[in-house]
Amino acid sequence: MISITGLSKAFGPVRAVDDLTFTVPAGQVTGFLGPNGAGKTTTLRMLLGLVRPDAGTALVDGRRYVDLPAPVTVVGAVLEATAFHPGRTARGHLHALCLAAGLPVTRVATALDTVDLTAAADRRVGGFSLGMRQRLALASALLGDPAVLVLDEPANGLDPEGVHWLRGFLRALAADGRTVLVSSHGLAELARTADRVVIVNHGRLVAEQPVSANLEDTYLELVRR
Amino acid sequence: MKTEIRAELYKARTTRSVWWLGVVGALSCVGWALVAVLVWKDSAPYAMAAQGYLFAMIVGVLLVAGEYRHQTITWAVLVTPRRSRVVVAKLAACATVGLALGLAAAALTTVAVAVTLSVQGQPVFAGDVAGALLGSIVSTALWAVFGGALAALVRNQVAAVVVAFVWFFYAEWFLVMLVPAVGRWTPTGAAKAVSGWTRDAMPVAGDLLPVWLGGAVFLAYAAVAAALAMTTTTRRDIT
Repeated sequence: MISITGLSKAFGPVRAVDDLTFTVPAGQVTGFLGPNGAGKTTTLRMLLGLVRPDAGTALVDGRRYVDLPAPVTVVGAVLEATAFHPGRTARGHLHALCLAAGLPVTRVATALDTVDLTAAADRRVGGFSLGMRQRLALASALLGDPAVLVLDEPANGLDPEGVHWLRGFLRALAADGRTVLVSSHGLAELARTADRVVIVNHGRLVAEQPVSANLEDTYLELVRR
Repeated sequence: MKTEIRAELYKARTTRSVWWLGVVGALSCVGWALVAVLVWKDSAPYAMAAQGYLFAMIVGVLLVAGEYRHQTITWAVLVTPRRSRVVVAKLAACATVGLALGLAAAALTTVAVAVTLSVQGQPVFAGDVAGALLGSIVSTALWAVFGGALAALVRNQVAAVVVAFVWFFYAEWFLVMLVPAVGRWTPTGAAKAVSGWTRDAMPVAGDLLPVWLGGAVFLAYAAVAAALAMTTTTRRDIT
């Protein structure tokens, strides 16, 4: 379970995240929505200890990410699809993460298999398509078999088959009792995947509610206010 | 910490530029060694094994700044949120890679010098050969650590190389030309004390520092850069 409380962050004069409070329960897929620049990515980065909040807390199971003794076994994160060393193979990237986290390197093959990337495992990431990078990022997040998943636009670049696969995958994770937080602009897709949504605009909470039948109308009405 | 260092070493091993910089660095030592024997008739040609130092420093820069360049620092920090641990593991990896480069350079230089001297019918192992080789290996490792620490502070790969270039080829020269007394305490002066490098136009007033003190001073420069990095750069937001 994730709890965000009074979280704030300003970049110069811009209040990227402004006194944001919401929770993400276990066993459900929670969609994280908002226009570009609404503060979604900054919120996720604060949750993961990458960005230091000006105020408030972002906790995973009651602890800050940086205080978790073995964070990747608790939280899996997918952030930017481009963040790989182009000269390293997919297997090499995962291998390095396993070594750093002290995880058994046998997890590499399992994670590659889970995201259906085994065939491309020994190719350099520099030649990967966006969708393949996204799968590799997902594999990285899954290495530690975490109970909490934080995914920033995970469907970016995936082909229709990939999107279909991701939907089933996220549903299965939630059914397994895990906590899944997914930011996305794909409202139609999210309406089919998520159980509930958190909507932010200008860094502030706009709505925190179950997914309605007509997510797009709800969203547009809320962010236009 | 052991797991993080293993991961850093694995990353270094799977980075192609580290390999080719190492190869070129070691071969440059061979080149200088041949010049020392054939042209300069230098009495201590084995000390040329230290001449891969710039390559070692750039390898250190790559190992640290490369993570920022490719944004892979995000993964490193997600796995190890205490960022000072990441920096320390990286510097330990720099030391190990630098040591490997120093060993390779020493081995190749030894072969090149010994073969050339014996062909010329000269005594092959005259003087303190072991001391020269050991000094070269250690100084090469220290240069890699220095590069890594500098990159931790500067973060940008090109900027780190440019800063090092401007310092070592211009600023430090001007400084030592104007105030020769500080020559033995500058990074280059301290590193030279370890490597035993003597053939240089830079006017260092008096003798170089003792080997151990030179090594300590050079390491202290790296430590200051790393400590500054830990209190400033690495605390910044990763966006």
